[in-house]
Amino acid sequence: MKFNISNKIFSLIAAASAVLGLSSCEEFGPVFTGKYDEPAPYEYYTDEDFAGKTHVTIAELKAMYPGTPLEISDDIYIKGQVVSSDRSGNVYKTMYIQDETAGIEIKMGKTGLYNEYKTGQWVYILCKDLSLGNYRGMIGLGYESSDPKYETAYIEVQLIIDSHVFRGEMGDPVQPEVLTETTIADPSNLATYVTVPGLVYMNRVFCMLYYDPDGNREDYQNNCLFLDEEGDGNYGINTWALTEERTKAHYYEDRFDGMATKDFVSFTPYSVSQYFEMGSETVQIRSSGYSRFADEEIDPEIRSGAPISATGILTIYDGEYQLTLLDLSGIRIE
Amino acid sequence: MKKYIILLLAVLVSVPSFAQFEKGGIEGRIVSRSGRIPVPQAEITVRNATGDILQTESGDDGTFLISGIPAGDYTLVVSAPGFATGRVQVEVEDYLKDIFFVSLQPEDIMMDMDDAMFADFDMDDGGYQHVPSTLSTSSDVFDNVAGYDFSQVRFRVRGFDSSTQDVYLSGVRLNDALTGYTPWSLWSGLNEATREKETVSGSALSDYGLGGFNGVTNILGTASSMRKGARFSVLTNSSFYRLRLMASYATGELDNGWSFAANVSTRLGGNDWIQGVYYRSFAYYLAAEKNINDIHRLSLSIFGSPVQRGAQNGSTQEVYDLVGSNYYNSNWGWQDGKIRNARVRNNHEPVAVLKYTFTPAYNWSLDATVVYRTGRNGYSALDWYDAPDPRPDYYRNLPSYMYMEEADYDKRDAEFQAGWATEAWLYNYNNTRHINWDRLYNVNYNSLDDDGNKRSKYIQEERRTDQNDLNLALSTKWISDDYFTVQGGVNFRWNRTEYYKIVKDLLGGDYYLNIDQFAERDFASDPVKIQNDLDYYLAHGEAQKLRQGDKYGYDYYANVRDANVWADFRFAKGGWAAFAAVQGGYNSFWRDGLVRKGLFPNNSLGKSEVAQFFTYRAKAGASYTYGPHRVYANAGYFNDAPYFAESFVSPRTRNTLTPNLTTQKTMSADLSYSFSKNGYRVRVTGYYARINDQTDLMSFYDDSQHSFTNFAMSGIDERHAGVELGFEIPLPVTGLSVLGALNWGDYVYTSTPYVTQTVDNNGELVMDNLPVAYWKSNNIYKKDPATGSILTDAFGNAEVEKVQKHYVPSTPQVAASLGLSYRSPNYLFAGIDVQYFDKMYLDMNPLYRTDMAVMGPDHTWTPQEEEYMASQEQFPRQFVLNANIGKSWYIQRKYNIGISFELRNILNNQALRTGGYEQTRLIDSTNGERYYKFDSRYFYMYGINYMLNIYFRF
Repeated sequence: MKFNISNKIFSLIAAASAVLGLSSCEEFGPVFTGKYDEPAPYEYYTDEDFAGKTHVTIAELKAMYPGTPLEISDDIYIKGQVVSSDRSGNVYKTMYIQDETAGIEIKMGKTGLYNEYKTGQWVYILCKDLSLGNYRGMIGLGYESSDPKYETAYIEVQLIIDSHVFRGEMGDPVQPEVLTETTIADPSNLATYVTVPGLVYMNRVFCMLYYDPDGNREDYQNNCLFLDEEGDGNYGINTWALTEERTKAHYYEDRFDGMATKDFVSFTPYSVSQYFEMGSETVQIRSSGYSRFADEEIDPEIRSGAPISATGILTIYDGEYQLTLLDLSGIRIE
Repeated sequence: MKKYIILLLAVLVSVPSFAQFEKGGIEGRIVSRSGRIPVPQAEITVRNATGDILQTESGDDGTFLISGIPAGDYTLVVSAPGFATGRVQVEVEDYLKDIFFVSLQPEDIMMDMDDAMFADFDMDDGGYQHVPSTLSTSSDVFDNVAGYDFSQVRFRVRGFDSSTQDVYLSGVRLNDALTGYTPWSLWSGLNEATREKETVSGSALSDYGLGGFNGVTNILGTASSMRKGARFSVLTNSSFYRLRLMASYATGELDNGWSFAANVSTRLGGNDWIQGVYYRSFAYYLAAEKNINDIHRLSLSIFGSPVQRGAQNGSTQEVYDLVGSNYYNSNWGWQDGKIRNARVRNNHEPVAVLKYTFTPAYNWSLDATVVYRTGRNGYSALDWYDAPDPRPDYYRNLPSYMYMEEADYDKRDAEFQAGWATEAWLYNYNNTRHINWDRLYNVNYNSLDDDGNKRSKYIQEERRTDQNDLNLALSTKWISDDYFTVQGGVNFRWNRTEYYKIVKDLLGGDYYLNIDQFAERDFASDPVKIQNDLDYYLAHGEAQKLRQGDKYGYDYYANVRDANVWADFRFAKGGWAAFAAVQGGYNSFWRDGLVRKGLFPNNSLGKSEVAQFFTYRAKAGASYTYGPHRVYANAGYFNDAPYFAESFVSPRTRNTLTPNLTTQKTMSADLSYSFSKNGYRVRVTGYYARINDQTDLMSFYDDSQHSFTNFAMSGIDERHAGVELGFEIPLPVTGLSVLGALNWGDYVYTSTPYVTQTVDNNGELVMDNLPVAYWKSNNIYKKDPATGSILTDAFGNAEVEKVQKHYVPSTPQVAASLGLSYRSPNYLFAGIDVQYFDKMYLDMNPLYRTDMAVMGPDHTWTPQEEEYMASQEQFPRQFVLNANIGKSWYIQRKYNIGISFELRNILNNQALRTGGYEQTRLIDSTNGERYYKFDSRYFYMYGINYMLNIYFRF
């Protein structure tokens, strides 16, 4: 048998090129495997997009809080600039915005918010269906809470965020307002970006440690050890907060004043309030154990009394002023 | 080869008396195997050691007569349109010998499989991977059904893992050097070039080495093994890809001793069931072979299969229910108006095979083969830094994260938010169900660093496993003049595989930073510890800013050196045959880190300790054939080395070997009876195997530790026992027969394995060689029928009702098929079958079977916790109906056109779970007394689907 190989090979090559030719026509169905154009940048919302709605200032909105949780039923919106960033982890799952009248916490319930809401960026918030609530003196906007311990819940659900929080134009970052002993008491400064000057370290902390003496975790009060006694010093906590590792180290060094004899449920990061005084006012700089600077030591100069100015979000907790740093650049020795 | 052996036995070759010169002859009849239909005009070539002697054709009644040939050993090569080429070994003496029937197997144009039949499930989260365990057909009726019809439910032969099935190419074992997985994807799309296979099952002996306990498939893969002629085919189907185009051509052996063969194909498009899954694949095969005087035979084959395929992901039943489909795939999203899959396999691993066969005498041959595999193996995924998980079905995006019925389900009381999340999923608002590429890009657009450059927060990475695999095999075969055959060989494998990942797409950003985001959770303020490449950081003072194509994350070599020597000895006399075989080997492997990791500066760069194992295998078998009856038994003992992939605690970060690393020991035995006569075929086999000392490795986020951990399990024992039955019974209507197959298996775990759990970030021990107490079983407790509460005895102890065994998952342990098959003499065929699957179990997560998980945060055991946490999920039994029809035409015996159509799962059963896995996370209850499990993820068999195949051959 003799084959005409060249002919056969030619027909094979022809078939192969037909196969390749066919397949280079774009795919079948909506499955595209080649190039994708990059998506367009977000279009930012402007006032015109909210033409049919009623604009209220943040101060006006907060004033609507009747003393109990309020689910907003009117078609109103607020507009403000983002002043917080959760980049360092000290602000968590929440976002602060302010306009010229006031600031307010938006309980977003998402992490990594700084990726999508830039400091200085304008945001519009349609308030209808959201809830105003009070937490220890702070009026915030979130979602109706089913937990009686809290007046509002984190929004959490992307669909609620997408239908209530709208990105506006990028603006310049808001400059912090420099407070005085007098203006710190002005409620309109709460939840805004401020600088508190003249703070002097008090060598006092507030830190609530959880342990489990009786195995009953429902018994909340009895499971806490409060490190807050005036005159007890800072319990050796020279950092802004306690990471898990640092907590463990402290525990084994018996720094927690007797805690070593009790059982931890588990070691976790802890938030710490470091006390500072501003004349007759006391301001706690409260930092999360999850923040990136938690284990940073407070400059010994500060601990030995050098006055500082601190910049962050001003909050209040049962009448006590607390400052939430966005990051450590908010601390400046004067 | 099995076919060959059976035929050999079937014609009952008499004891050879060598070197006589009287003239003799052969007569017989060519028939089709199913139904004994005579095959007219079959081409019969008579071949001896010197080449083709003569050629003839069968008559209209299938009979043939060959006379006037000298006495000696001959091979009859029988080919006919519509049938697979058959070979019969005949000893010619000085008279006319009637060899009765030579039965040809109809060429099955339905059985056109490739690895696409196994949807590529993304099992990353579970740490498990599924690879087809069987992808071949043979003349055995059970193997045929199991290999094809059962494949749609991921049936595993005898319950064994895919890595236990040996797949050879040209006589060289090519299972993955690092995982043992079967290498089907290397020649995916080259059905024509790889069609000629030789298969043995169970512990039977193969011609190419000992084989293991789960069969050997050898793909010939040489130019001369491919069917002569040209063939084009077009295939469309609704379950793997839209279109396959294939062309092949083989010259057969030319007069000058050369053979040439080529095969090209493409597979394109998605399927009807899973969105986002697609193929964009090509394949090529080129081979040449030269036969010099039938003494030297040199063959070279080069092939490859450049494949891009989108992968699918399993979701929880909550998600499937919300979406309204068990075929939801969370891997894709819309971009630029098109579907974009984040998880794409992109492989091109060319293989070259050089084989030399030396046959100096008719009874002695020597093979030397070199196989080299190289190329790229990539699998993309999203990677992100300090930004929310972009996967749509991430648990925090689901209603169940907000609200669950159980009162003490921690932090799950937000009913209103759950309602919003439900709406979002039900109506797919803002493409809730899909990856939001727009958002990922926009995050990157706006992620400006101090220099005004965009630091990507989300990227698409590609994980690479690039192999360089060199295999050398030498083997020899000697057939003695009387009853013995002796074979032996040496194999050597050199493998160096580089594991690393690259930045595949910056998704609109300018760079990505080469730091370890998981290390940063624990060591945020330590710039040294978070470095993926510490030396780069020390040299440049900052982590590398990665551009597209840059390597990052991890980068290491896996080095493997394996060698073994084997020999077997066969004996055959009269109806008796027996064999014994042994193999000894040396396996070694080590890791060679190419970057210094910040977390493990002293244990990540450079060579690890070399793990070394001496291995051995032994097997023996015997058979007795009497007329159509055959009884045979095989047994073996296998002491095999563990694979690289399960031997390092955290190969991406460091050189630490897993504790208790040891060889896996398997004892296996089977006993079979087969019958084959007048179209009746029956095979029944009982099998038993114990596999001891297996190891497993997983990495997962452990909520109780708040960090990623490595979970190394050792001492896993399994026992596999069962019965296989296959039969074909001709019915009175010519060409019609009943086909059936049944596997009744019982595969259980029999040991309490031990686990060592370490924290990935610092190597700290969490569990140090602790028992996985509930791995092999958990107790079921007696309950009050009225209240459902657990009954206690006089001492207040819960009363045990029974010990619930835990089963080997990911295959139906019971599978059955019953069908009708029809083949008319004019090449029309049709079939219908119903299948039944039972005893299917979910893969168990060992974490849930530890005391820690069962007892909960309060460290107190309760019977309720044991039943909840440790029990294994069994899937409901299922039925599936399939049918097929086909016809082929021969034009002037020269051209052949064929068409076949197959409908699978005609009843559109969409409830058949083919597998899944448990997630590895625990949820505290509010009162801290117990843990809840995360929902499991499942995979489902496709609903009704079709396959249409048209081919043309000349």
